[in-house]
Amino acid sequence: MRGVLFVTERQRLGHAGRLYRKARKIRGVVDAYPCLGRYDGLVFIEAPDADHLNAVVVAVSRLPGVFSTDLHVEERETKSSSRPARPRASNR
Amino acid sequence: MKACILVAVRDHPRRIAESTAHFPGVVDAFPVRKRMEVVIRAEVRGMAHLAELLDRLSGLEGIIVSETLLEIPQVVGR
Repeated sequence: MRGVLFVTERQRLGHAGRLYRKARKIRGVVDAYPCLGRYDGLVFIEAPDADHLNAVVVAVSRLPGVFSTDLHVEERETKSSSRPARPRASNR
Repeated sequence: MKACILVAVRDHPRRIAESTAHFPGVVDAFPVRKRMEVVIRAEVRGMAHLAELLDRLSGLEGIIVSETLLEIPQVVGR
């Protein structure tokens, strides 16, 4: 089960790399790094099940400097996984 | 340089994730069910390589918009 955790930091103090070095040591984290863009950092996770995934998310969110996290979990393939298509015209 | 590309697609996010998997620089790609539908994990040689990857991505049928999050490189000495 794969996922990516988008991290927002409490404040950018110029040593954000430390946070992600600590995150990379958490079992289940395959990569973590600070980034430019909507979020402050990314933590990529691979876990055997939802319990492990939850444990990784909790561990990352408790790291000093983390303000909030937003988890995007891989969508599993099921027969009922169809979803309505986005409209063709979009101004996003 | 590492990058995470988030992609909004019209439909078939799994198919789009699978078709990007062989693009040079793509490490992993999977569908998600949130603000965007596909997450692409990439490692590129530089901006030109990233631009090439994004160009190939935009050529896929069904892509609405993409958003790229770029790794902040490690500062030596920190």
